[in-house]
Amino acid sequence: MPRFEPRPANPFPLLRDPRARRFPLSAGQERLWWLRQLDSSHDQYHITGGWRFPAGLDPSALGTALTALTRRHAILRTAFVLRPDGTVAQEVVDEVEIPVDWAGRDWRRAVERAAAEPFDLARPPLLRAVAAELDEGHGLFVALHHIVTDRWSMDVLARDLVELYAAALAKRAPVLPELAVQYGDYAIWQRRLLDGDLLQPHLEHWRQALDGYERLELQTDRPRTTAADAAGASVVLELPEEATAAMSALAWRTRSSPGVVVTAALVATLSAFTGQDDVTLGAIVSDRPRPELQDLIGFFVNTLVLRVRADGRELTFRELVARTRDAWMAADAHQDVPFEQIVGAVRAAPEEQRNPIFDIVVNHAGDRTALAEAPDAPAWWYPDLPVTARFDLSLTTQLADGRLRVTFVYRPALFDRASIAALAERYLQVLGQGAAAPDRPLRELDVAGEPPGPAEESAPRATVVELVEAQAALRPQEAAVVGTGGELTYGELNRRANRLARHLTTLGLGPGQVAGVCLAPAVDRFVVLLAVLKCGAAYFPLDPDFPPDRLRFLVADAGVSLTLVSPELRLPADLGALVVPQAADLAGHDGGDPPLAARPGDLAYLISTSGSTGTPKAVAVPHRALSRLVAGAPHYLDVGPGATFLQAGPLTFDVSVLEWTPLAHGGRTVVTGTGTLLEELRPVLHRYAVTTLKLVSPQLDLLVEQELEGLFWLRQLIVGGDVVNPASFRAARERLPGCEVMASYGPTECTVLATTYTPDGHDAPLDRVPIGHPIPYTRAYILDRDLRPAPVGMRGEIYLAGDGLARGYHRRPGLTAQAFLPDPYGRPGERMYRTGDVGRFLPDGAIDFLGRADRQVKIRGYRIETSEIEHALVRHGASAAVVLRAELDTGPALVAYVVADASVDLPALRERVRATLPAYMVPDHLARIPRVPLTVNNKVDRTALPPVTPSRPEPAAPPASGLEARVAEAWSGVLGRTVAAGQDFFEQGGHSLLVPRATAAVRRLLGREVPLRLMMRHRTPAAYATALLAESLPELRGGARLERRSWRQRRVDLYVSAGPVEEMRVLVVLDGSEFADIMRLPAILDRLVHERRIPPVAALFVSPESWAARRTELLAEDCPDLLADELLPMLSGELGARWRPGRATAVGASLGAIAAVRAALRRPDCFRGAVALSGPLSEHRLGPAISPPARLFLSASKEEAEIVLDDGLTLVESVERTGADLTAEGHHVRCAYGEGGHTYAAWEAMLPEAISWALREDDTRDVR
Amino acid sequence: MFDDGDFHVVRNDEEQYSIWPAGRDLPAGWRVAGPTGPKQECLAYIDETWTDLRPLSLREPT
Repeated sequence: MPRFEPRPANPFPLLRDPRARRFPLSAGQERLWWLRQLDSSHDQYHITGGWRFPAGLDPSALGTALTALTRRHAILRTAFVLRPDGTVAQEVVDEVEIPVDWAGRDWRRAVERAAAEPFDLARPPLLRAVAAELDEGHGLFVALHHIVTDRWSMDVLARDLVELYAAALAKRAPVLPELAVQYGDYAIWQRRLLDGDLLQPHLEHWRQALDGYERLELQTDRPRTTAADAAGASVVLELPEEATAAMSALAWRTRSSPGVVVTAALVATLSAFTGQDDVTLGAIVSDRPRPELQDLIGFFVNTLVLRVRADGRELTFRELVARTRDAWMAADAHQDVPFEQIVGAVRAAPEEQRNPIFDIVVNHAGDRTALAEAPDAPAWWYPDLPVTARFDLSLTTQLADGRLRVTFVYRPALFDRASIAALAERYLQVLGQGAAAPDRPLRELDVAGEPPGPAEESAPRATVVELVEAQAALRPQEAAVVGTGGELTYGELNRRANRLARHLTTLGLGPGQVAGVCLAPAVDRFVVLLAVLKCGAAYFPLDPDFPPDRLRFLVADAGVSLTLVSPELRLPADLGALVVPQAADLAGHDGGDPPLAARPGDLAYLISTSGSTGTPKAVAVPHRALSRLVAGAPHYLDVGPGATFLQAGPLTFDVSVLEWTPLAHGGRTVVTGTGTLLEELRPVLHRYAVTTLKLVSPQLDLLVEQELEGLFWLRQLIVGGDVVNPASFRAARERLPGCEVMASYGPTECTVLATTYTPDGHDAPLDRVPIGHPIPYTRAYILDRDLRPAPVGMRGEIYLAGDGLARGYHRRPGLTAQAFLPDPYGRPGERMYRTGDVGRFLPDGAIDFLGRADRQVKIRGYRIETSEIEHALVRHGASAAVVLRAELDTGPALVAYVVADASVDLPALRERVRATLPAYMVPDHLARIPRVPLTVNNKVDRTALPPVTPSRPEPAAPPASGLEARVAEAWSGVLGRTVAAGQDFFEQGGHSLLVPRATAAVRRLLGREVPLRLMMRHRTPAAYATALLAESLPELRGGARLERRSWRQRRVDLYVSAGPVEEMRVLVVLDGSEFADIMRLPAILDRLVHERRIPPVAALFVSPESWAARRTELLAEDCPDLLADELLPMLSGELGARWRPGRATAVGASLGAIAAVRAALRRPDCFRGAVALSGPLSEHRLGPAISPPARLFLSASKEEAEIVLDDGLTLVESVERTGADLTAEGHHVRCAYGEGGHTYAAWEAMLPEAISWALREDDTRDVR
Repeated sequence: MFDDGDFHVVRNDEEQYSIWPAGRDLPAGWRVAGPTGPKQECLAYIDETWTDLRPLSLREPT
């Protein structure tokens, strides 16, 4: 047993300060405060309690008791206030009144309202009460915000309130223990510990303990949204008395505790449900480390992070309990590190509506305290209330009457009840059996889901040859195959195949042999395929477009005895392929049915698939398996007489095998080309009146881009072959009303199809299309890692069994043995195929496909199914997408390869995807590819994708705008390290508790409200700046707009106000985008003109070419001349009649102020004055010594007295000195001093006065 | 657990080979028919031994 350093004591004294009124928040309170800011519309952090007063409640005594309670506990009189610097304080007020709602008999609504209505944390008391009239006496219900209380506190509150009430009633002094300290004293005491360096080693512990941790991903039943939803629901179970006793005994024997044992069982259950060995949970614990704190009401809850490894094939419950205990003890010893700091230390970027690090918590509550014993004494009262869920899933266990009560609270927005019920059931089994037999390996516990049903009947043995021959006898004149080359009736098809078969037999083809076939998509191909089967041989499709070496390899590897090629196709000459003989050349052979050659066990065909190793392997499928497909087909496929079937893939793809199903049942099969991009599909569907269409999912995506209307004959559309795109599936269902749209799933190893899914009206709100139920003569299992059946909702690997199984991989015994395993649930000696796909059962028994086991990637602690991201990209405009995890120089990254037409802008696509996917799933890089490279089997060829070149700007790139630069500066100040414009705040060590401070800095900069949650969505200064601008588009009156121009690669915005042209004044505004977009000068001008405080104006907002070039541009000696000689003439030429020739006023801030004053002084012919805000004027030579009088408005902010310039003057002194100098030179100068520092907010506030003064015609001297 | 630990080489009545995790009950109709050891060792053995992938019933003359 490892030894742990115990938790170190806080070395500072815990002292009462009776005079203090303002305290910091404790770390836990800070977190609650923050959560509240993220979502103020409702609040899941309410704590409620209730008591029954059998003798009734006396209003006056209750009022006295409540007042006494607030006097006793300062926390009930505390306001939580955001201070201007972004810090939060708790401030105690002297008196508060607790509102009591005397709701009478009709108290239910009052109770619900009291429990649900949000509190304003800045307005105490955060406690409200409802008095209810019950059948006997009164009930008193209270609701508090969690920030002032916790479960333990509710016991304290109950005891105090009951005693205070009894004392008030009896008019005696209450008997309660003296409170040595108040909550604020505790908060200060805790802060002193946190603010020092004492926590550094603990932080290091967490860094190590959580290094490389894997976020637990319990499969949700519905996609996550970022919408806040605190609604909860619960599943409650009880552990029987005997098992509870065994559990307690195990806790004692393992030197742990019941809390540890119940947690270990949860770890085992979640590990099984998620398939993850590395389980990280939260544990909610009460933390009152000093006796002085025992009698306080307040928030003394800590959240521990427990990371437990549940790996090892022989892992026993006892060992898992020990590991859980160790994790718990380590977490306990290091629990003084606030959770937020742990989050920051492990760089776990927070997600909206998702808890950092873990989504699932465990909470072992002890026993509830009994109140007084007297018969009339108050007792606990629990009115029914809606359940709120603070986490995705939480387990609360409590011992009551010798039994363990197990409550799972979950979010119904994410989970179905059935899924959680199955998980809860499994949990009880693990706990009960684990406690009873702690030394058995966990994998031997009897905790499996329902065993798969008994093996079904065997498929009929008739081979497809016999079935087609029977149809030929039954309907010789009816069309069997139509398409390129005309039409073949059943009679013709069978006769010609018979003749060819006799010919091939003379060439030596017989049972056990393989014939390579390379056939054009024309009706004749079925003559050849049927003939090969009639010989008892297997056919092996070859693609003429394969590289010659690959063809040679395939032919040699399969041991092909004979290769047939269509006359119009070419194969390498050395393969010695035989050109398919023409019908006329075979006329000499007998056309009657030859004797049956193939037995059910003989191979019918081989299909080549690419292996993960890159070497192709051929799946060998016997007649028995093909018969199983064909015999069961009428149960779900529309392929009988009158049906016309088309599949649009090549013969080398196993979907083509489905073409046998109509031939075996009297329908028609269409064989023709449909074009690589399905451009011929529509004409083909019409020409042959196709009723039954099978597409692979990329083909469906192509189809729904086309016009679907008018496909009257189409009765059934089956889509499978890859993950079905739900949007395309939905589109097909909506736009083909008379057509049954079905999804299918089946690896080649299980003969084309294994399951089908037909939606039944009420679609599950999944973001995926389920793959449904097994087809006849087929079993589908979902098994956990120990090959036990998974219960409903639990993810596991999909295994297939039944008659559809292939023989194996042709001439690959090892590969076959590895993929085709003994089937523990089938008939003796049967095998099952391990698909490598992951899925789970939905409550209705359908299978929900969750992806390839090997397509899950882990990045930044998250396990991601890349197909989910691919779907999102497709939903938002890509025609196809492939997402990979790549190791780039900058670290691991998600790369999306996107096929999209030119109109789709990749950065915009990324932004749209960002709106629906959690941030950790948003691809880091998007690369455009012309088309998705496919393997020969129409699967994505991941190895053929080009290496990525990062498409995002380098994170360290210089800011692109002033706003970006200033946001980056503000955030850097908060973090204490430089954040570049492209760097993620949270990846640079930021955590959510720093967000209020970082946001406060931006608020100060802009002088307006900025929601805290903006930073959660936009985590780089660049993205944040963009979002800020999007939120603050200037609104102009009367439809006036900014007109965008450009001049010398610079952005120029033009604003022209309403009003007569002859009165029009001109403003030239430097750093135009900042004045236009951030300070909203156009709107200010609009208002000033409207209020007639200034004449009508035309304003030119000139932005620098880039933020990097700004300084050079503004300070260039020729800047005034460029403005005067190029910009103004260009615009006067362009504006024509809207332009009044006259002198302009230049406007600038900071360095722009220099340029503005210079323009006015150096080019008085074009500029009559300037507005210069916060300009370091004295540092620069402004103008010639003598120039005609200009009208100059100079300003600084009082706080800028702290900014010292290179010449030793403060910015305020610089403005004062320059103002005096320019006045002495005869200019009309006004100096103004505002507030707000060197910020947009300060300048924006100054602008109305500055512009009004600068545009005034009256040049009489203004008094400073 | 199908990816680590030791395996048995197993065979059914049709003389089809497969592998099965050591220490777990063998499904009915299967017998240990070769070495027990790491997966790759078992598969290599099967590659050498199982030369005819046809089920036994098919190998016998009809």
